[in-house]
Amino acid sequence: MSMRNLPDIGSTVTFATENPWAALATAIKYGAGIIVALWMLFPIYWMVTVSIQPQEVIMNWPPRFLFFTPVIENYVTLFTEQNFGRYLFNSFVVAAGAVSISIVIGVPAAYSLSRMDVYGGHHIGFWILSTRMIPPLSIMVPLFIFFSDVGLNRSLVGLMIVHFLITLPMIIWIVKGFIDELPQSLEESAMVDGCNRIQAFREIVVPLVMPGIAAAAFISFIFSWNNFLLALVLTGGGTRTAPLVIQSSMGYLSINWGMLGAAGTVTVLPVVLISLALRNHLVEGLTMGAVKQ
Amino acid sequence: MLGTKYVRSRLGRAGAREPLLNRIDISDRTLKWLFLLPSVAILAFLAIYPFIQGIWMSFHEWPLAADTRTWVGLANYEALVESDRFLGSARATVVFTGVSVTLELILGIALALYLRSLSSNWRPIFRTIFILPMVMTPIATGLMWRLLLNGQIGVVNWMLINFLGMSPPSWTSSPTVAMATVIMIDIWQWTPLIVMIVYAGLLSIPETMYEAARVDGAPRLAVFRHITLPQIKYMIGIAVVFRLMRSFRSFDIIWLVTNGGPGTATEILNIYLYRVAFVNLQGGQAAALGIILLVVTIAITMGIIRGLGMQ
Repeated sequence: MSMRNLPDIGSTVTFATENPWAALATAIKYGAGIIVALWMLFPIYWMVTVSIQPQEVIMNWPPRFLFFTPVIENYVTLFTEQNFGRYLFNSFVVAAGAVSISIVIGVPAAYSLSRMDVYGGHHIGFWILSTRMIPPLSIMVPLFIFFSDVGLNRSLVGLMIVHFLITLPMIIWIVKGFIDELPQSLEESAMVDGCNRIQAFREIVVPLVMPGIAAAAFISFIFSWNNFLLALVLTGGGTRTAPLVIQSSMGYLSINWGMLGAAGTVTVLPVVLISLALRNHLVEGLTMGAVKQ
Repeated sequence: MLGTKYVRSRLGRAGAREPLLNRIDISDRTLKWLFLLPSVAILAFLAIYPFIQGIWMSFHEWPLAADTRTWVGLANYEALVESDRFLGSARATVVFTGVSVTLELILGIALALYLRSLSSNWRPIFRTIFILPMVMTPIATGLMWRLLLNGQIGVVNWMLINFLGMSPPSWTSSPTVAMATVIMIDIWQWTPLIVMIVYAGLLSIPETMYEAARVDGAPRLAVFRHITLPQIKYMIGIAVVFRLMRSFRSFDIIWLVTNGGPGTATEILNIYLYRVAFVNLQGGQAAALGIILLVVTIAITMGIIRGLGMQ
């Protein structure tokens, strides 16, 4: 669906110069747009700004919006004294691990649900979707006990296993949507040519839905990366993830805002980059394929 | 473009290697279950097992710090229903979810229409801006807003005093204002999701419908009510389902910004459940609370999905 084919509804620029009311309407329209854009962007801008200000400037009144000498000392403190790199690495290991294993087991499941006429497949698919609706805390108490019993509490492996609850349903549903759109004749002609089902899946279907798999992988990576609650319950000390460390550094009496701003900035940076690269698939991912763009 | 030729070229490559898996002949009947089994097994372990174990636990007095467990029947549920704190947190959840999702829906539809009305130069820019808040790590969102609303260095307070001459509200220390604050932050983060979903719906409305209305000289409001709204009704439904799903799992922002306070003013069910389980270490009662939360959430989302005929 290309947006370029649509005519511009309501943008009456030539009209506006002739009619003062229309000119006013256009001004209000763009003014409102600018206010909304500022509302969306300013909090992010401010966090990044504070991260490159020295503590004296942050604590001083009035706040400096634009003109100040940027410093990197907050980032230096963050990575040397606070060892934030380690927690970013924890976040990365959990998210990347959960995503890659989910792809290996989720893509065949998506194929099976999409193509292989599983008995009750519709219900299984819907049940998989419904696991995404579960409020995580409602199942965390029994899982916490189980993980403590088997010694997986406070380990990244344990956290990774629970993160399957985020990544697996998402990957299955998004990839299933992509496979559904693929013409079945491709696999059929491959199987007529003598390859078996697994070959047809591996050699025909997987390469063709690769863009979909990549989109699903990155979107579920964002969700795993952003997650806080599961790490709060299941990790501690050296196995904490980046959001958890941000949260625990906020508890102190005197908050080092510059350093926290830096921590927030480096934590959201990968997410922002991924989502800008994926912007055409993002909504599909957020709605698990229910909305196609 | 993609035809037998493509298939042949891929198979040629495959034939050269012939991995073991390709040579084993598995019937489709077995294979479809083999493909499905690992995913179903993992999700069953993560979703069904804790649910059943949770029901079992909820009938016990089950302190997380000790190894004792005593069968108490329905006492945990009875204690919850009679407890003011539980009822208070249920009320806070209804207020938080109800107000934030309603406002996000109104604002989201308005902004989606706005996005559609922009010229094609501006549209991609605004679309990109709308993407940013909804992908932000919620803890970072909480951090940003705590920084903005801070009593000493908060730049929002500074703007209110200097630009509007207002005295800033006590963002997180008065019960009503604290609830409004967390709702405002939730609106900041999640309105864009509704914008994106509704906007996708708006794009699918055929232009000819609008042209016909324009020829007839239909007023704007009538166009919205009789053309736009019926066409995006389904998308609005999807937006509500996904928003509610996320709202029922809200935790991070409230935990960071108000910590459920002041008192228990913003203590939604998730925060209360976390406290019962991992602060008070009352496993049985927490499990009972978890079961209630799970059943209510699934019932509400399924109800809406059924109502929409999405399934």
